[in-house]
Amino acid sequence: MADVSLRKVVKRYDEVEAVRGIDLDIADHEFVVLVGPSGCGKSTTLRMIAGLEDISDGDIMIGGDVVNDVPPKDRDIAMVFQNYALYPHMTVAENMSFGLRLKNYPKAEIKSRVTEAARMLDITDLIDRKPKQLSGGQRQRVAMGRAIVRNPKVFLFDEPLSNLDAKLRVQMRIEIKKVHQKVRTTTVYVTHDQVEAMTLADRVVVMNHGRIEQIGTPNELYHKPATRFVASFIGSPAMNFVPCRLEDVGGKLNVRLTDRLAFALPPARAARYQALSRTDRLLLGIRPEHVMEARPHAEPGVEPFDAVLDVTEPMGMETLVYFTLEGSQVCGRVSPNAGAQDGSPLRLAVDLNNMHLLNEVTGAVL
Amino acid sequence: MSTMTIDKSGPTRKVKYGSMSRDRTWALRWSYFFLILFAIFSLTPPLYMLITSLKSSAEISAATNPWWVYHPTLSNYIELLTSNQFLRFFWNSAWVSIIVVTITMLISVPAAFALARMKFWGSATLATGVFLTYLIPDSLLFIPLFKMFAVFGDWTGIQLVNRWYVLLFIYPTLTVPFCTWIMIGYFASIPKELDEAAIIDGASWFQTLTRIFIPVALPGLIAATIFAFTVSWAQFLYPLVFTTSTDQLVLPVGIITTLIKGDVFNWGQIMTGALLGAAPPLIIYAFLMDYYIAGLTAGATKG
Repeated sequence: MADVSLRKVVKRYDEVEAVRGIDLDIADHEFVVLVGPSGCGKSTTLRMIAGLEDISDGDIMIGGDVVNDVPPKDRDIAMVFQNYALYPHMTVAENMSFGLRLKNYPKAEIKSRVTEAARMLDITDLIDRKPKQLSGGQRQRVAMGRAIVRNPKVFLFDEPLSNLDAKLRVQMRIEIKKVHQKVRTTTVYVTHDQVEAMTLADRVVVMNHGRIEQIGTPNELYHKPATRFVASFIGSPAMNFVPCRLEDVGGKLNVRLTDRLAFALPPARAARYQALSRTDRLLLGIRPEHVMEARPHAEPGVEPFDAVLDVTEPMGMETLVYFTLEGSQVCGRVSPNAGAQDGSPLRLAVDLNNMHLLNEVTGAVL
Repeated sequence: MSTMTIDKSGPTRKVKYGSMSRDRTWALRWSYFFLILFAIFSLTPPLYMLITSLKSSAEISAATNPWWVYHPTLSNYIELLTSNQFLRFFWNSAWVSIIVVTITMLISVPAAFALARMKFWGSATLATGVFLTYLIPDSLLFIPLFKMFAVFGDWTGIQLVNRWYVLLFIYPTLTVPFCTWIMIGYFASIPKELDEAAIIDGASWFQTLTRIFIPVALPGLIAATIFAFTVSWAQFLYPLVFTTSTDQLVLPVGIITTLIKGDVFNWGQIMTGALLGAAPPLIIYAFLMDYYIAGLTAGATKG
């Protein structure tokens, strides 16, 4: 068993709390991604699991054993670093086998493991080269190979793709996913890139200010965010937030955005938000793909309105349109054939079946 | 009938080609000028030594052109290289330097590793302190040091003064601080992830030092070795103070104490001795420079 558990884990640097009491259970074979902005404590959490940082409080368990005071080499983990951290004076094969050689594995065993890992990562031809003769993507493969040959309980990835160019990053992302499908080793992966998090993870852990904001599958985070932070962090372009209030008009619930603009809530939403009709300071959260061009036939819950576009961004398969509602910029995604032009009016529609209502003060999704 | 005149001369404006490269040419001319000047400045003394070493005493004292050898002779070389005394100095110097370099490396490399990587209470202050000790000149230290060894001899009966091996205790006070300082710099330039990777791979601190840090910081290690060797080989004040018997002398002191008798300077042999004495550092430089390749860390990390 190689499950990883964190219990109320805290990391303090002098007076600053980088990680403020994290609870996290990672199942055997699971691929978990820690994601969040710079300084949210995700790398520190990973380094505490690795044993490179002491924990100030709490417990970390790997495979059921508390490893708080176990040195990194005895935790049976392997780590891939952002800047690869290959040993520059060793060949690819020596780099990959360094850990095994230190543990005095038999030569034949080392050779077969290195060969197998090299084959899996498609670096068999590079096995006798030094790191400086390799490209960025190749170095990253070697760093992964070094982790794979150890056959550890847990893989730890610390922003492994941040140093690669965009195209290579997509390619290596797929590569990492393939490797995980083959070896099925429990993996903890840190990134600040929400796309990486969404595409790789079985479950995503969104962190902010040293705390976990939400844990969930990529789809859960996208469709059912728990907080404003998660709602705005996951998804690109980000979710729109517009101040609003609820109005009870003759037993029917409306969401009013401006003096002139209000939409009737679909029945399911109306039932859910009924109790909030007296609450002040609400935010309507709506993803750009739910603000589209108005269609000729009416659909339940899809409410048309007119907007004057500030800016349009043609993306090819769609056009992003930006307009202003009560001082908030709103982004919508329309068909490239919708005739969207900078500065001109366009009839849009908002799909309220996919709306979110947030408390502006607490940031909670209601 | 009008004739059409064709101006074959074309525009008179001068076209400037490659102003950048002309700039570079001038920069190169200046650098060569100063390089040649510097070469003349630094190579004249050894040349003069070589010329003088090939002359007989009679020719040296004769009023002829000092820059020309009229009757070249190897007698100075033969006399020195067949004299047991000179060979003794040479061996003393060689032993002292080799052992001091070894001691220095054994102390300063682990010390630098500890100061650069194992953050412990006071490590930063200690690192600065190490360097500050190097700044105290030996001319200030030789009297207290002499006193120390004399008192040590009185107390224990172990006489170290006037033994060549006393220098093995003294030279490291010069070499260890500086070499530690150099190595701290080199070790600090090694990315932190490299030792973290080694630690996760299961290496102990000692294995991280021997299998990662030393190979990666080899250029720094060579620089430190060259420095330690040069300091030990050329040190003059300490051996002059601490050793007096002829059989305990090292080369620099040996040459001036045995080849200058009263006011008689045996210039031919002095120059020969100095020239022969300069050979080992030269050979070591030439040999180690091949390994002194900068940028050995290339490829460890991105950029």
